[in-house]
Amino acid sequence: MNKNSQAKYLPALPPEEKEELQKAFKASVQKTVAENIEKMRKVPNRAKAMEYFDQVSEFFGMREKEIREFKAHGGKVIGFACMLAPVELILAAGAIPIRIDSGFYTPSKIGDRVVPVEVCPVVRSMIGLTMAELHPYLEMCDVIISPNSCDGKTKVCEILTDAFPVWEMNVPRVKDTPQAKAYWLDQVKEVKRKMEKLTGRAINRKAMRSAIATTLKATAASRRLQDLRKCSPAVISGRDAMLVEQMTFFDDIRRWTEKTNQLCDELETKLKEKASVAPAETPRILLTGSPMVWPDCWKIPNLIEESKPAGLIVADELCSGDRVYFDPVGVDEGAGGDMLKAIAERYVLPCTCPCFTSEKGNQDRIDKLQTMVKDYKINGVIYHVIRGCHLYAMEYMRLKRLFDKENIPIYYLDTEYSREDSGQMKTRIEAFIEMLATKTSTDDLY
Amino acid sequence: MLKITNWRLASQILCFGLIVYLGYAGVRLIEWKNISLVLPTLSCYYTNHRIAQCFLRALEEGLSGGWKVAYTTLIPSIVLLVILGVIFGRSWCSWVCPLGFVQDVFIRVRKYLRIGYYNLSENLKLTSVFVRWFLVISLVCIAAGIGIPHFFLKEYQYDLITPFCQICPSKQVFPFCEGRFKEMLTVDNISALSAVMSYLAIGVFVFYLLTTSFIRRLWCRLCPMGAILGLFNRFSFLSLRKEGKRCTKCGICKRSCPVQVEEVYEEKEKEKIASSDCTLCFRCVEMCPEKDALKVGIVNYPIARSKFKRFLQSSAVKAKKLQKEISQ
Repeated sequence: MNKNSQAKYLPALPPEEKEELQKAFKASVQKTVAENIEKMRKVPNRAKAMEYFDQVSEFFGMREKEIREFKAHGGKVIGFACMLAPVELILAAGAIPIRIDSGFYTPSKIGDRVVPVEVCPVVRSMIGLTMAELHPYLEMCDVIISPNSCDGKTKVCEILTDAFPVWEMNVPRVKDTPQAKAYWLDQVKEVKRKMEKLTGRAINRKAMRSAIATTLKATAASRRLQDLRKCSPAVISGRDAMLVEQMTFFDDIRRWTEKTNQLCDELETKLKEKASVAPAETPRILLTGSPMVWPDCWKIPNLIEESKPAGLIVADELCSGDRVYFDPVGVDEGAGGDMLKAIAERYVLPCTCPCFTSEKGNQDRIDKLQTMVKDYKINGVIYHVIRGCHLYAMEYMRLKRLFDKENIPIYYLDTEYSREDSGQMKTRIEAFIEMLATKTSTDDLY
Repeated sequence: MLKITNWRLASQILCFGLIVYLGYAGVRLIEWKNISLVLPTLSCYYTNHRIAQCFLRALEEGLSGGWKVAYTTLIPSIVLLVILGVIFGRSWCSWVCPLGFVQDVFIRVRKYLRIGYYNLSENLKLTSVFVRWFLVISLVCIAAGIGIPHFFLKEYQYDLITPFCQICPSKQVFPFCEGRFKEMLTVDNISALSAVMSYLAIGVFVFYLLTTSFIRRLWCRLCPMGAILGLFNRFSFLSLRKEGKRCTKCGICKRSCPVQVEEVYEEKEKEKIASSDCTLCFRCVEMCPEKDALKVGIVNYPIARSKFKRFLQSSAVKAKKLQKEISQ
């Protein structure tokens, strides 16, 4: 890290303060993770296979040791700040991909020294982590790939250039014109070239092929889990499933696939035994909106599933959740160029992020949410927006008008990483779920 | 057996065998009261023993033969074309046509060698539409011109009879398939015009050979038979159907379409995807990863639907263990 006078944004912290912060951060993270897992364990009939994911979710634990060892043997660790970064290329180059979106509350307060509090907490938190060198994985990154998708990500990666080399990727805002596609393909090719230079390994056809096969397996596992969540009775709590999906951020993807398949096997037997995690009449809730990142963003899911009456999150349309490994890389022909094109298109074209627009608006997202409501038998939608996430906030009204017409309850929940608003959130969520519960019971009457 | 391409390959091999080699088993042109079976595919006159007639040949012969011939051959073959077209649409091109099969063989060889392909630009796509309709119109005009008594084209009837058949690549391809290599690439020196037609035929054949594997199914986009059949795609019983709401617009269908149909990707409102380019090969259906987004339909009844499992089997990148995990 080049902490010197050339830094554009980040002030250098005195070493004593840094050390203190690091200690306090480690303790607080371990506490939050433990608390969250403790809450999730209280859910009846929790799958045994979830223990593996509990283990991985600890930031200072098994996975950290693995990555450190990998790095000690000369391996490269590539951080990426948004789900639009082409993970297949990182895997093909033999590097470890780490998604560095941060869900920590404490570092976001440090970030306040650089950017105003109105800015999205993911950004502030990432800045805080970088300043005090807190995040065990972020610290190990050799390079950060930053697709400039939303406003926050665009700027935060500029700020992070003070500490890391950053490869920016220009995301075309109108995604499906031929020009945009060609432009984005160029960006992906550039990343491939840089990656080859960094790791010294050629990303040839064979390497790409095996990387795509790896992510396809992960996609299959992820979709299998999502298909299980469509069934009733529910056999996995929303928080568990979200944790599983979120562990793709930094877990070894091959092992993750294996463990997720094990989890699905267990859930299938549970489904046969009808060992459900919640009573059948629990309202089924779809989460959409801004990402919810482990561990501090678990506030909302915890409140939803623990409130009285409780809801059950059966699906989410978050870029930190089900969407990460939902879309597969579809290779039509095995030639190298076609594979690269398939990788490039997989990230941008089906993406439902509101940073994309077109003359029809973000129609893909609307369609996806509507089919999800049908497929998952959703009773109500919670639209989660964290402060400063303007793109999601601005798309809300369109969705609300549409869902109002279709008589699907949708509720706007704006929140922050801090726990100060927990009480208020609790009241609001309880009121919404109570409304859903009475609605479903009266719907049954008629 | 979720992979539709495998079914299609089986159908193509079977039809190729029937059309080209059934004659050797003793079957002759299938006829009923002097009306022969007319297929809307390039089932060629230049095979030794054909079992059916290509519609284009019937059209040419019917038009240039005068009123009487027109009455007996043209009307029944057009009626048959309409019936077959309305039922199957343009699926003849990708499931039956021997020339289409030859193209697929070339494409398979190219795929095996891991060589990439080119896509036609928007302008060239328009040009291809223009070319195929130019071929249809000139074919009809020349053939009809020969048929009109005392018209000047009558003088050239021996050089220009069946004008399209003279330049069609099947003229060279089928003798090759039957081992009659001497009959390929022949030049008729009877008159200057017939020599020109022969050289044109050789030119078209070379063009066909050179482009067919690098620009996927280019011939299908230039073929006048395809142009006529394409008209029926709008009404055909067998059709490609799409549930727009389930489409994530991932673009895989568009990329894997051999004739670059845009509608399958763009369309979100209409249920039926009707494009005159579409050869109904249903590659998009098998490559679509979204459940039920694309369907093969007979009228409204879906006979095959897209699903993730089918996608995994059809995609070029396969993981061996993957199949097991999914099927569990």
